[in-house]
Amino acid sequence: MLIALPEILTLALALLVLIVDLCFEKRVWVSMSVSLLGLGAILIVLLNMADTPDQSAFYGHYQFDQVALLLKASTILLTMIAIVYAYSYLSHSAAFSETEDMFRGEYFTLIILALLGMMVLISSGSMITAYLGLEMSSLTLYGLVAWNKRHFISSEASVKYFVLGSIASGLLLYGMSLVYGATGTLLLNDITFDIQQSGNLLLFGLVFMLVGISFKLGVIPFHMWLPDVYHGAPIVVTTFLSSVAKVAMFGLLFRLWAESIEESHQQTDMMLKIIALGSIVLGNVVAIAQKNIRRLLAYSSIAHMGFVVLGVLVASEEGYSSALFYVIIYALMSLGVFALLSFFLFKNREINELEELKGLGYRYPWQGFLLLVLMFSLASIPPTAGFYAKLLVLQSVIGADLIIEAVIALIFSVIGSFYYLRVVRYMYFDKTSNNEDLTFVLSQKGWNSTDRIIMLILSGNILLLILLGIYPTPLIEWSVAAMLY
Amino acid sequence: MSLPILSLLLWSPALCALLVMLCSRFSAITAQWVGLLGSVAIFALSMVLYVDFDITTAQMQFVEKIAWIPAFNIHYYLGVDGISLPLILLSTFITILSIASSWRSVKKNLPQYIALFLLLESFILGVFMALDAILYYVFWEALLIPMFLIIGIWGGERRVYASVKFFLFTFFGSIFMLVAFIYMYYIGGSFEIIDMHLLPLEFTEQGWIFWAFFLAFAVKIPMVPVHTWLPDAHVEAPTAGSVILAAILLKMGGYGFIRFSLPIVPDAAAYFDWVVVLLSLIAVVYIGFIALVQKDMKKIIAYSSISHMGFVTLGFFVIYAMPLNVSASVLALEGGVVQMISHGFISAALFLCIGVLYDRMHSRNIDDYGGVATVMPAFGFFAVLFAMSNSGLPGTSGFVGEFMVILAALQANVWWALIAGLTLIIGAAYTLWMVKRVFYGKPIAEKVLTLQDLHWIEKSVFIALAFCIVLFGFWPDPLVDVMHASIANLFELATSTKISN
Repeated sequence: MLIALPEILTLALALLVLIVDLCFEKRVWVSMSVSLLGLGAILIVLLNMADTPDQSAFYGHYQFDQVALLLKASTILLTMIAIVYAYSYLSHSAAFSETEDMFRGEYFTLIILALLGMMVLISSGSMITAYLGLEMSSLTLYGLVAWNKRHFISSEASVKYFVLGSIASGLLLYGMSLVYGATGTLLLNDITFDIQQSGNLLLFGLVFMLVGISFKLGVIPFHMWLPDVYHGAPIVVTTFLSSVAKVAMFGLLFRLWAESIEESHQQTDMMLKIIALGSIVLGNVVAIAQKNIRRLLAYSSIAHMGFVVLGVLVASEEGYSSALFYVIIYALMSLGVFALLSFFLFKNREINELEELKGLGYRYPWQGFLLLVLMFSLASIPPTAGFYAKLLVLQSVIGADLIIEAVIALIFSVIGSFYYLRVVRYMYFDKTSNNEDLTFVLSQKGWNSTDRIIMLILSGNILLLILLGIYPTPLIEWSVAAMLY
Repeated sequence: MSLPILSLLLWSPALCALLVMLCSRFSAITAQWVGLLGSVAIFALSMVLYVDFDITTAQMQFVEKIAWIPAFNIHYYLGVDGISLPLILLSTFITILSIASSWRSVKKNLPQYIALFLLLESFILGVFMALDAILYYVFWEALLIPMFLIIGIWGGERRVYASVKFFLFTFFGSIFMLVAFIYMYYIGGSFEIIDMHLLPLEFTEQGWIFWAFFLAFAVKIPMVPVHTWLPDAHVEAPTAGSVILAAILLKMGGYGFIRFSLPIVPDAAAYFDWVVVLLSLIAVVYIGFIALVQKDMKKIIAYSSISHMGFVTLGFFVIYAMPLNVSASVLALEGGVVQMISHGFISAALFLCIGVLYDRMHSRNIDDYGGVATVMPAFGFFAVLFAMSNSGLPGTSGFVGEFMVILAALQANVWWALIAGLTLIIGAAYTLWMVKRVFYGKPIAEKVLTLQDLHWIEKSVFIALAFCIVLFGFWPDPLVDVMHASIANLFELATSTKISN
């Protein structure tokens, strides 16, 4: 049962952080350090398992393979970075207007519990485990979205997220029960989806499952919650939600959908095609109209997830590995962009409108440069990592002879690049007198050493995108190797 | 193992840009000098290529090949032949001039400006050196970033509109090329351009690939009707930005046609040649007339660029109208390349002239000028020389390329040659009329009387350009000799069918 060791340790860590937080209530840095050290140790344990052959445990309800390894390693690593950012943001938050008492150690417990749910989800071998993991992470995320508890928009977003998320979970569960009825098993490896033979019951169940998955992934037509939650949640939570959670939700898509459907079927293909292309079209077009940068990034996330689904649609090893690579790169970009934005304040509150970024490039040259890199990476212009993500997906899509789909996706990503350029435009092209209202939290009171370290991590996070843009080979090889099972 | 000279040349501008940024933290002047001297050193390095280049072979030379993304058989694969070498030299040369010319005219964030130009140079060299399609595409796209920033940050009034339009047009064109590359990878299993040259393709496939390439390169070069980004970008870009745009970036479209379209899809190119020829002739004549009525000097030169690039595409595609006439076809192809190089010098020179006036008067409007030559005699001399070569005066490089293309077109179709020959009249009309209104006559505005003649930096830039224009006008051999073997090889590839039966 040792293949579940990372999850067992994560659960232990969550409880430990809870106790530590009780003892050191006023010293949040202790909880933060314990969480970081613990997660680091778990990451090492996990990476030591790299040579373990694929196997399952708990009567097949739980499985370990190379995909799980890569996904878990990246979620843990991304969570660690997100914790560092969150600590810094929360520690400064007392000075912001519109926030209240956000600097508390429970934050890290919740994050670790969410991570635990995601890890279970990634390693799930049966529909029940997948559902358990999903609910565990979702419930903690609902709580995290309302972290700024007295803030109206934050609470509204949380309720919206909770209600809609519960409906989606319900639909997913209902779909699972139908699939169980049609196939007689819960284990993903045993399920052979032969739609022609099993008939409509199975297809019916699959549709419900796909609805649930699409909701969690945030693709059309179940994307409505995304902009509200991205906008309403405290921006550190959005950082977590838009990066780590996306990687885990790819795990959901991969386990429940990709892995159990061995061959592509006409009906299921059509659904995925509509979801993928629809997300790319809608995400990119609607984002153009946004004035709020967080809503803009939410729609951009819809479009990016459309590309991930496009990779999964191909249903080949190549397609899955390209989607895997895409989602990891996207998580890195998203983590960077929301973290960077979280450290900017406009009139002492979180940044919201695009216009508030005016003159950023001149007032804060280095931060401006970092945001520039992120924008071009999100627009997938080389030499940034975003380009290779798109290249790999396109390669698998064209390889499957879906050339029209590839062209549609590309045309709309060109249209999409417009709004990323608009961010650059606000930062650099508008000649304004110095934008005094815009402040960078970390340097607000001069640089102290913690702030310096955090800035260094943030810069490293973002410069990694250029590094991977020049030499993406290791990560590509890893994603390709993970799918060769 | 020998010295990887191409990598050295490719990455030294980027490193130099980094150095400039580092120096700018301490002293702006040092940073400027580092940038200028760096670009001169890079030009010197590129001359080494010219000296060591073997003109007898069409093989790729100075080849470097390292596995880059083995999972998809993508290589870091560089090489130079007789077609890319002149363009590489042109790029390194023009970069020096654009940096030197911004010395006095750019007031805001000059070190960053210079660094962006050096970065741009790296990407441009990458486009001309890459022999792997994905590597090529990476550089091709990457150079949009510095150019976008140059137009957007240092540009004129409508810079936001112009920069975004430039970016979206070019980006839109090039995605289809990427799809074509990936498609060919699935057929041939290789991203190497030389393998693609030999890849057998059916006619329908060729047709699709041809149009994919056509969109990418026609936007870049630019051809009618996708040329509309160019006047905007040129007018709004700062002087040095216009120089690079006209002198080098447009050439990437022409380079694309002869590196990709002709050799990879010869049958489709032969079938659709009339489209390109027609659009080229429209560009030559119709755009020439549009240039005639412009009031903004930069717009005149921008439209003149489109019109002149029409000659390049005409030269490349006229060969299909005379499949048996080898010498005329080679002449046409060479004429196209010579025209690209020569237009690089001339358009750069003219944009710099306008930059000189704009720095002093802050106006590009012809009506604001008159009699400039009386107060700026040295400047007047250079400006008239460049204007003459733009209208194709014999003895300047502008004549050589046009003459070669017209001569070849004459053997394909008399009417084409006649229409193309009209440019000698229209071109002369809009250029010389502009010169007349700006430089001669009585000074209308009082401000003109106070103009200072050329600064020594400006003077040396103009001398360098005038030297090149006159040199290649009288003696184009150094240029033609270099490309001869490669052009012959290109002709071979472009006229042999790829359809299996």
